[in-house]
Amino acid sequence: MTTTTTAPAHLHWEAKDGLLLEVEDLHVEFRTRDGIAKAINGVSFDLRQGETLAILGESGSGKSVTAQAIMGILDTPPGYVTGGKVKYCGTDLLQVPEKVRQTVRGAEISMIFQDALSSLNPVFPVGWQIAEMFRIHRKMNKSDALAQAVRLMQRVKIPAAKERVSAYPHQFSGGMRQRIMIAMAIALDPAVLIADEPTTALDVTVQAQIMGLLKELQEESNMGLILITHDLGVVADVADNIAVMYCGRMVETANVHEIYGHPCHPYTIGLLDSIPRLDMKGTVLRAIGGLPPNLLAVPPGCAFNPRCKFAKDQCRVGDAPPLIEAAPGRHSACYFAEELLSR
Amino acid sequence: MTGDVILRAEGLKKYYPIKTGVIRRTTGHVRAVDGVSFELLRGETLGVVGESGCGKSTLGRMLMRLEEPTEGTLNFDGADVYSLKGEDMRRLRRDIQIVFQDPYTSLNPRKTVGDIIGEPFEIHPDVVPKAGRRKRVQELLEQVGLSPEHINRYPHQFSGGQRQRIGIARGIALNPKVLICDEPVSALDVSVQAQVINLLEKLQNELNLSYVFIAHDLSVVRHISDRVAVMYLGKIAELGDDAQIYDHPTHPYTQALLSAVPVPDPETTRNRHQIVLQGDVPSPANPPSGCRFHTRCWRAQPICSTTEPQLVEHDDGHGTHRSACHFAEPFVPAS
Amino acid sequence: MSDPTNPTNPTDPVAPNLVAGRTTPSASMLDVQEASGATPEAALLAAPLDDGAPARSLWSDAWEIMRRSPLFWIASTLIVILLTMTVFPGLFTGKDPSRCVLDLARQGPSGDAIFGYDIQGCDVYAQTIYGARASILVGVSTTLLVTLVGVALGTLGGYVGGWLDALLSRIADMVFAIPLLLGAIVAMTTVFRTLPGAPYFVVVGKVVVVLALLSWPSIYRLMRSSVLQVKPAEYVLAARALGSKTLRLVLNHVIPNAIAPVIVVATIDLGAYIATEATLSFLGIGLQPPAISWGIAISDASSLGYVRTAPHMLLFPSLFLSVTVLSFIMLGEVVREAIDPKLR
Repeated sequence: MTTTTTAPAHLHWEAKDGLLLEVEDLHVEFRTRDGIAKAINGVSFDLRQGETLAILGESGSGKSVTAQAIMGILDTPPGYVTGGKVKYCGTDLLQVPEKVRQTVRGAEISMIFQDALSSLNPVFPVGWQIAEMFRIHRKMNKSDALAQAVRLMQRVKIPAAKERVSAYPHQFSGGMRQRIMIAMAIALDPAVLIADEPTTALDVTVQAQIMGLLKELQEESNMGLILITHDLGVVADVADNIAVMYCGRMVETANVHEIYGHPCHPYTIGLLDSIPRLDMKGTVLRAIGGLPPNLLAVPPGCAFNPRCKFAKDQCRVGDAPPLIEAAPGRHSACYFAEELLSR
Repeated sequence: MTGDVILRAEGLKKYYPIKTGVIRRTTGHVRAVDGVSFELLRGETLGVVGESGCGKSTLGRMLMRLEEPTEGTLNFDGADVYSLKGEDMRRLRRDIQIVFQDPYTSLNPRKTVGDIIGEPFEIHPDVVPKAGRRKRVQELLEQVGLSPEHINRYPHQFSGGQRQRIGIARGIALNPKVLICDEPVSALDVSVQAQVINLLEKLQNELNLSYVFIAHDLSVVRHISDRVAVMYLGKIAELGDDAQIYDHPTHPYTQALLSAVPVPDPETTRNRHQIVLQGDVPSPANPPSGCRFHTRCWRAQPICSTTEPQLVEHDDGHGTHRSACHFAEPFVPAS
Repeated sequence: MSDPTNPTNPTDPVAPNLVAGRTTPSASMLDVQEASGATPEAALLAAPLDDGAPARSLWSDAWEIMRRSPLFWIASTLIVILLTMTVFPGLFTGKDPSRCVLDLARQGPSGDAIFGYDIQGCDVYAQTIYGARASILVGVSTTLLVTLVGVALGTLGGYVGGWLDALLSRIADMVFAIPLLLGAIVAMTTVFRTLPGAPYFVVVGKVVVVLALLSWPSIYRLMRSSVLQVKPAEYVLAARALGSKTLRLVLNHVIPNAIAPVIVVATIDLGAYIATEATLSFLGIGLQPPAISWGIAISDASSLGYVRTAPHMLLFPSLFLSVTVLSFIMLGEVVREAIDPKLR
């Protein structure tokens, strides 16, 4: 770390061989009035420096919960991490004291959310809120912190940053607010940035600006970026690797080019077939039938089996199929992955 | 049966007063819709796309006369919609119906599905005799792909996609001729969107409906529309059939909008020529002079800030279609 | 660079468009900025219907929650007993509360009179039982009247809006500024003054009217804001689009969806009306002897300084009063918990 930090000395995080984050067999459940909902069932993945990993899934797939578990900001109750490891630079964050975790949050791993308006405090000027990051974590004095805030606002390309440092969140447009959120997230030079649906609430022209900005910042600092989204277009645009989630499990992981060219899990295939495309006029969309299952009553066997056109008897019984290697560098949680791959 | 005009809008405007101060003095106007004209043909789908604040939802509500126009006329099958009163207006409501965006707020949570879909018949009792209503509601449920047994359930017992089907069933209950779809799939999950789009297409064929399909998702609009209107700050920037708009756009805003949409194919999307627009959409309370897009346009000339371009035919390289730009021409990437 | 701020007023009609897709109230604890935002995971938890699932309305859901609450059963049992007491006091005591024997005055509880006798030598138990009628009658009638007026005016103000709303709201503000008890004292000693010997129901009626006149603004405000929230809902628009007449629209869609908070507050306020009635009677300006009420009993017992020598005279009516007030407040709390979606 390059700054005059007063952070505890033992917090010297260094990625070995570029490996930042290793999530191993993570389990999260929500204890609700109606029963226990297993939101995440054994999710594992790695993230390296400079890598963009997209976690793709629909609502209820557990993609946001995964992010919250990594950040340690899960609402408890009702959410509980019931198993697994979240290793950052080799240290399991689930085992360290909350005090240490707090120093990791923001400074090492930080996060931006979909709704920038509700993530900002409406009663304080944005510059003040950004400066707060420096005052708390870097113990800077007020004027230094404010100067840093202006520098950051310039870095995320907010026009007239100097003049607008004292403006309030509601005085900014949606796109500008998301930039401010990004500024706060990268303020302490985190090694990992988790972006949870960063552009879902934005218009397409603004979405393009924000995604461009994130890419640029990543290239500058070699951050690992976890992009959580449901938008197959955005993923195709910026991700290196993809993990597709369905009903609390990763059902397919691969390099972005491979997954779009040759998906090998029926859910991924279904998703790609069901979306209308801008660049061609289709006839009838091949929709996936049915609905995602109720997390309180996940069907036995593969959770996707009731909606799957390839499902056979073995898919409907026992445990869910494990995520296994279907081809070099490709994993799929389907018994027929290899057949699907050679289609 | 595509052909004759069923709905014709001319010069539609909707200004909302901005009131400030203790005495609520009107200090300005939000020009949500500012001079929109188009026609909808029988049996066709007209897509209306635009970013938030462009006035597309307000336009949808004006077509339903849920908002009274500040100016302009709307002609439905020969009737001047905005001059109709009382019973005549109520009769017209049978012919134009709407499907809303949010399946969580568009259904009354205190009513059963049967009550919700049956409400049109309560309001227009002569459409279906009382004795046949329950049966008709069950038919409608089947038509939109739900089980007739669900008639006594409440909305919160359904998922988003199912609720949207209920909203569609209510929309088609009176056999309307025109259905306004206001972002009908944008609140739904990806895998459910396709189901609802397919349902809308099926119903259009079965019932010979005309759709005005309002959405911000350009891909969805291309898929479902015969013709497309691109809106920017309360005005139509470009109007044409789907190939004209998507393959040969002439308005710089359309060109930028299309280039910003990532395609779900890494090979194609990473090689596309992307026009990144600077800044945000200006406020509709204080729109730029002349062409409203000139503040963000790379083709802007002095004339653009003084003279407003009209929506007229321009050459798109493969024919002509309407575009509101002084310098309308197909986009050629610089390199 | 154009000004990206939005200088339009808060009721900017373009706003629904600007925030399209993000307006759904987060309903579930699992709701974590997922996918398209407007799909709370609550829906997912309830998503696919197994075909045997019964139809459950929001009210029946609320009932399910209340049913499991012991507080609900305690409160409603007490209220049922109190209501029975109001209608059939004879079921609880065979004695005539107005039959008083001065010789027995101030005697403490005994096998003969379990609550003892008061200063007039009347049976305190019988007096307390019969006194419930006045309290409950005032409480329930006031609540009904206030709710009726508040809901009607609130709906009018909220739905119609404009100058009518402004007028109603300013009147409500003015009335709201008057403290309930102070206002009631002034009203009961001037315009609504009752002459000694006025018939029972006239006096009760006057108390009810005075309390209602002073209390409707709270329900009015609540209903008005609730209606303002419901009015732009898409199901209201959908009904308008179907050609629904305004009255039908309001009765079918607006009021049923706006009234929940009113029910809660009205139930809690019921206790306050009972307490105010007792206070007025205590001060000698509400019900007056020979009418029987807890307020009068408490007044008699305490104003003469018998608290030390004959505490039972004060204790029992006060106890009943407190329990009654508490029961309604408890019920209100339970109902609030059951129908407030934010707590779900």
